[in-house]
Amino acid sequence: MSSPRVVLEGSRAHRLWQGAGLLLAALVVLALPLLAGDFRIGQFSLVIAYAVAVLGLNLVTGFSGQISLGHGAFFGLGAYTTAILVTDHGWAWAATVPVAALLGLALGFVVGVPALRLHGLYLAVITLAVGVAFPVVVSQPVGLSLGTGGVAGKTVRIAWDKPAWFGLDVSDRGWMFLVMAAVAGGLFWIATGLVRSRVGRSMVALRDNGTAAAISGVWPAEVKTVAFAVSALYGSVGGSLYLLTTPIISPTTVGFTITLLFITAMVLGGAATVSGAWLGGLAMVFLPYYTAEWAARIPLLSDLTDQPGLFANVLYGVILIVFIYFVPGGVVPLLTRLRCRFLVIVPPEAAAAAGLPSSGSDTTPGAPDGGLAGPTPAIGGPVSPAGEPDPSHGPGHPAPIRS
Amino acid sequence: MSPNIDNPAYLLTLLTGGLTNGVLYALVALAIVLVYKTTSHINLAQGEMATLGAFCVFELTRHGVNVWLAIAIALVLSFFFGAGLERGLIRPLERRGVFPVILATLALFLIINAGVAIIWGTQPVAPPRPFPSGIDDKIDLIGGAPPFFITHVSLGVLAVLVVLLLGLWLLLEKTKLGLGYRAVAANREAAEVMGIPVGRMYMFGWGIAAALGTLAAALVAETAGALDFNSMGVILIFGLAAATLGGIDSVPGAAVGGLALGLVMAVVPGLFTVIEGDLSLVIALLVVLVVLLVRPQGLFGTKTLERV
Amino acid sequence: MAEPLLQLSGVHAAYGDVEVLRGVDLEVGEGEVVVLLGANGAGKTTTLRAICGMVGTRGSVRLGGTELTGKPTEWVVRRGISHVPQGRGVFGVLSVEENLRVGAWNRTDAKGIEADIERWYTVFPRLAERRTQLAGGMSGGEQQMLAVARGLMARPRLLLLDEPSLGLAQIITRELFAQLEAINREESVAMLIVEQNAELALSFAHRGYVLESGSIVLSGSADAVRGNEDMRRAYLGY
Repeated sequence: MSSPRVVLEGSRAHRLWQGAGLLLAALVVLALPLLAGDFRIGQFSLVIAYAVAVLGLNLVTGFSGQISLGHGAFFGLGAYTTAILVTDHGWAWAATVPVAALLGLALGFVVGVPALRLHGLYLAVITLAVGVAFPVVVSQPVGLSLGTGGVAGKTVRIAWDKPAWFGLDVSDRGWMFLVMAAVAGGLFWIATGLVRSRVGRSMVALRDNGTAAAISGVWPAEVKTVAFAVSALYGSVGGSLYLLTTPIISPTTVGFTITLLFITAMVLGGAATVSGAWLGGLAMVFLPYYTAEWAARIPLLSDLTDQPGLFANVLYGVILIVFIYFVPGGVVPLLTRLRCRFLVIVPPEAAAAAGLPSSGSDTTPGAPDGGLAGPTPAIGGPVSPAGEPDPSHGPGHPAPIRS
Repeated sequence: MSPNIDNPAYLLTLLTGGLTNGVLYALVALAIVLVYKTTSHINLAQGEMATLGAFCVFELTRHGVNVWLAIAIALVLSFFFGAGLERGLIRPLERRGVFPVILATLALFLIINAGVAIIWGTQPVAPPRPFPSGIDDKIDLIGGAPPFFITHVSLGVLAVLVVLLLGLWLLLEKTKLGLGYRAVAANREAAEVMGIPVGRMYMFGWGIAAALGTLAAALVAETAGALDFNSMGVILIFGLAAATLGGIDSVPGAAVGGLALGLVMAVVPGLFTVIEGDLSLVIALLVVLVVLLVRPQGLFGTKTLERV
Repeated sequence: MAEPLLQLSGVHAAYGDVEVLRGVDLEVGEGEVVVLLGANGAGKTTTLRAICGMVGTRGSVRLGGTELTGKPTEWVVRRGISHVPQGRGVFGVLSVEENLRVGAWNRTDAKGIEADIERWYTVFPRLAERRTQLAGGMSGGEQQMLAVARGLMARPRLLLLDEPSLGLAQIITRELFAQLEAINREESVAMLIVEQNAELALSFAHRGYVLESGSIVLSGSADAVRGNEDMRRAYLGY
């Protein structure tokens, strides 16, 4: 059994690994519209839209530990903003995104303000009310007067031609997919930076120990409100992206159910991870798709209802319970553990503590007379050296969700 | 021209309608409070469990069971369903804090909501009606235009609340089980060292809450004349608002909060003619916000929602 | 030799990773009053909690020969142990009389319960005056009396008292201990008392133990414990 490689965080070797990973991701994204048909491309476009929204939920619930039960409302806000501006006012889609983002930020801030004084279940109750009220409001006369289209929903036609300068042989839908991927890539990059920043670290501190964080100079109220606002921004932009994949937005789309699906997706990927949002997005698109397919093939099930999507909802509920009980950290920490068999990334502080040379090129574990406490993960042994967060998958500990 | 709010008959009609709705909110609020008092958790699937119970009543009556008997059977089934969920699904998560429990109730929400829709379809069904609900089943009090009358449904629903509150009071104040329940609610650890089986009191709370929810859903179906898999979604919000208003750990508070919320939501739109459509959810949301910012323990409560 | 009423041997207890008890050996005989002394954080309260199964333990806790370790609290309580928790733990929103009835939770003899309620009202007349009042509205001393009376309502073989004098005025503490002494004499209820007021506790206990960092460092008759040099310096201050 060969021992895993150990690299120092921020070292050249680490950056090379990161670069290789990003390059691989970029190649996969570019390859998809070249190889897949428009239907598949559409599905993966939807994955992108959902992943961005789920990432927003990760930021507020996963990293700062506050329950948000109104994420569907933020998603809906972005979708309706884009729909109304494009259909009624002839805006270009790209021009609506900043507006949606700002409106999301504003609504998130308003919802997050009670967080200044209230916490815990109160916040859950308030966000729940916002989430349930949103689809009702857009279907009421108030919403109609703003152009929401009421109960029937709002149809939107957004069609792009692939620009002539773009060399790759992809369809128009493929081009849209690439644009969405670029937008999402930027948003994920920002989120990664955010959770590694001072604010991000204070969010985690706040989640793990409110009192200690308050003493050490983190202002919980501000941090919480910022977390809410940023989370809402991501949800809102996710809604705008959604309209590139689906030509209609209606109250049923942005009901409480989608909030529940976002939450399930977040838990599934890993609440305190950035990359978990991608897995969540994949689940949100492909789980209902394949569930419906399977249900249609099983006679007993297909006779039960004409709405196979309902089976997926039951399945989501079951998955949520299974994850709460058995995989509370989500899938990403499991993948990280798997990767640690081959490659271990050590933050400089932990390495220094363990007596590793700080110059930071490749090292083999156990070299300094085996005195390394952490970085020799046996199979099924410690997840990451010295229990330090693994930066390549967001800074959160791969810890179970907690209050 | 529609009648104005300063017309006494019209105002009284608004108020009775508000009270009738308020009873439903009060029942859901009671269910939330009974779970919260001992466990400090909020069961977000309370409404969906109630819908399931109401569909049980519907199913039983479809097979020829008398509607009152059907309700009684559904209440008993709901009690055991609720108690079983507490023991089997929620209790093992108890030590891991409030977030996993919230997630588990959300999972229940998804499963029951979709499950009901799969079994009974997504279209509304005509529910069994325990109270006479014909066009003439009313008591005329003020003649003329507009008239003021109280329907038998309203009377029946109010009577249910009164009987229920009385029963609940007897159960909690006059029985040993109720004493144990209140002891656990007052001080969980001390109750444990007195030898009270704390877990069974949690189950008792969940069970009673589930039964109350079923009763509420059966009455919602009665007053609305229709029942579907989403019937209780919005009612849960009103119930939460009512519980917050009354005080999340107060049984009388839940009743008063529910009735007060029903009245406010009936009268406020009448005062502001600019408000069009049904924005009662927004009103409920505002009520919650104002209560939480002004008096977080609610009107009658002692505890505040501090967990998480 | 007959087995003592309560016997702890090699009891370890931990909250998460923090081990609080490191092998405690302790005995309480039938009808005996034993005091457990020690500095803050020595593990006195944890010892009582370990007896009641309220903390994860290793080792053996036996009551009259029955193993208690690993059993749920309600089961332990049914075997005849009453725990008067630190800070009294009365049910503030329940009336005085309801508190007493909760204490008799595991009893089924309705007549006996009524008789006992009246009996403790006689012993603690101030509780009788306030029988319908909410316990939360009473003074600290009254709440402590209620907590003791509530503990006795279970007719325990062994009463565990955790810092009964905490927060009480000197005179009320003396009154309380006088009552405890009388109860022990008349009812022959065994008592294990955790107490900061070592002087007072030793004056009425038969034997004493001193706990330090989770282990027993000194034990013996009350007089012997009181006479010990280190003990006097550390806890009695003379």
